[in-house]
Amino acid sequence: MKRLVLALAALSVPAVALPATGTLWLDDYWYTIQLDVPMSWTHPLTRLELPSTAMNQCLRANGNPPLSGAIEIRYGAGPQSIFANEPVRVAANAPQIRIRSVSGDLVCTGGTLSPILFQDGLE
Amino acid sequence: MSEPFALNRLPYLVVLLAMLGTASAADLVLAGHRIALSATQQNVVMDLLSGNVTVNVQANQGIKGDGWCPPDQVGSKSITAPWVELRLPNLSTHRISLNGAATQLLPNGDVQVTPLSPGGLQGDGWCPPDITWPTSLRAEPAAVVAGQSTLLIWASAGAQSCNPDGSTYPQGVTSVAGWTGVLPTQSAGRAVAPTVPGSYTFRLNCISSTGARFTQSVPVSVTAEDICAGPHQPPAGLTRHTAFVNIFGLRAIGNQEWAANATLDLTMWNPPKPGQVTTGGINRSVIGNFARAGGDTAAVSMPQNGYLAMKIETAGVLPLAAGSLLTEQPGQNAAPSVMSISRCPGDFAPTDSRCLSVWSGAGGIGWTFGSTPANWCPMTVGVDYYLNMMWFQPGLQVNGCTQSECWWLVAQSCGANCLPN
Repeated sequence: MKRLVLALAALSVPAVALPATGTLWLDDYWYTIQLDVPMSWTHPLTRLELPSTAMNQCLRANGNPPLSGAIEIRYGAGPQSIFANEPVRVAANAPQIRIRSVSGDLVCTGGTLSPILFQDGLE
Repeated sequence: MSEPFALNRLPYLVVLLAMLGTASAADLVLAGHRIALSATQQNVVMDLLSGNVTVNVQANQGIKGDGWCPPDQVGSKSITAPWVELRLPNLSTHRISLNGAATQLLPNGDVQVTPLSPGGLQGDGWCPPDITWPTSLRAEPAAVVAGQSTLLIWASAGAQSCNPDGSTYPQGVTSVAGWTGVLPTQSAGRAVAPTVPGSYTFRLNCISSTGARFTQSVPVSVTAEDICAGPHQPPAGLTRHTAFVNIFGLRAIGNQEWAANATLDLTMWNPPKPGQVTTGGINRSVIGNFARAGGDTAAVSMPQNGYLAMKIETAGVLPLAAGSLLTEQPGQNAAPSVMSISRCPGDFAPTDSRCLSVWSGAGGIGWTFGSTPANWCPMTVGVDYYLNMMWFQPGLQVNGCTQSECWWLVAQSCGANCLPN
């Protein structure tokens, strides 16, 4: 009975526009990323500020923190940082952001394992 | 290195490091061309939804020949999203259309984008023009009467030479004096005087040292010269007389072919006014046909303060046709008169004196379309004229008609190269 009431309450909530989302590819996983706020790139610091994303708490596969590199990518609360030495690729027509971390093995919460078939979709 | 040596140079090292810290090494990379990003406004914004990229750059404009700005191509391009927007130190912006699928952020800070076109154009807002216009081309005045002059004014900077190529004129006009050949790079007022009515577009092309052409143009409207203004207007105070009644007395003089009391037209000699027919059913003017074999004698009544102007359309008249008009005073209601053939109705001061029969009791005008004698009034086939007559003596303000109306006795004939009657 309580669940039914909650379901009805949920149905009565006015519809709101869902935020536009895109895809952030990081190593072998993909994460949703919100696009309502533009990304910011501070070129002297080679630092990219990601918009709000489902990606969180990224660690290497062995549980170690991310390795440092030429490009800092800030995300989530804190903010947290991951690093890349290869160019960050941005495609507006998907939209997608493609990041290869320094170690290439980062795994974060909130992600989905990428099918190998689509891993090079930005090429 | 000894310690004092290092300490001595420490301030220089600090300054050097500070300079390195503030210098911007990052560029916007456009298909291999580089535009330095601002060292102070360091934020690059990328809108993933639109694909637009906004960057702050160091310079207010590119450099001609830098690989992006061409040395010889001028113009502007239409911009479509996505684009990269360059925000310039002077607070203006310039946009370049992009392929939105190919933006990259490089480890050295560079922002690499893929433009849709391989380069800019001179004067497009980023690439500087070779030539600038401190004074844009203008015409003063922009509308003139044919034959009058207008002043073309301009000043270019950076041009080596200018020319009027591409100027457009009314049909039949191939050039305008003063606007041909090599033109100066600036002029405070170059007079040109178009002689043919119509729309003119004076174009000025100025060529830079690189051969790039920068063009400006200005329209000038030329209206027909009013050849009937001033002394060629009808005399003040006189009224154009357009018809008279063929009363009995006039029939006795020479108008027997017209019905008594018929109203006869005085506005058209050739062709005659439609519907005006003799008692024999022939449509013609009261003074007969113009430039046709034979002739006619007629008597016309006109008020003291009137003038008549009978139009003569000459299209179709035979080349070299010639004839004469003779006037004399009838036995009653007589008055001396002045007569002219002119392109203007009521013009008693024709430009060619051969087309004027001065005020007298008896006079005449010979008319010719190119044949002799040379002292007859020259006419041109296809041009419209008027046969004008009045009692008033021009200049002396004397009216030869002392009654309310006087009669004009005229005889005309075609003597050479006449159309059949």
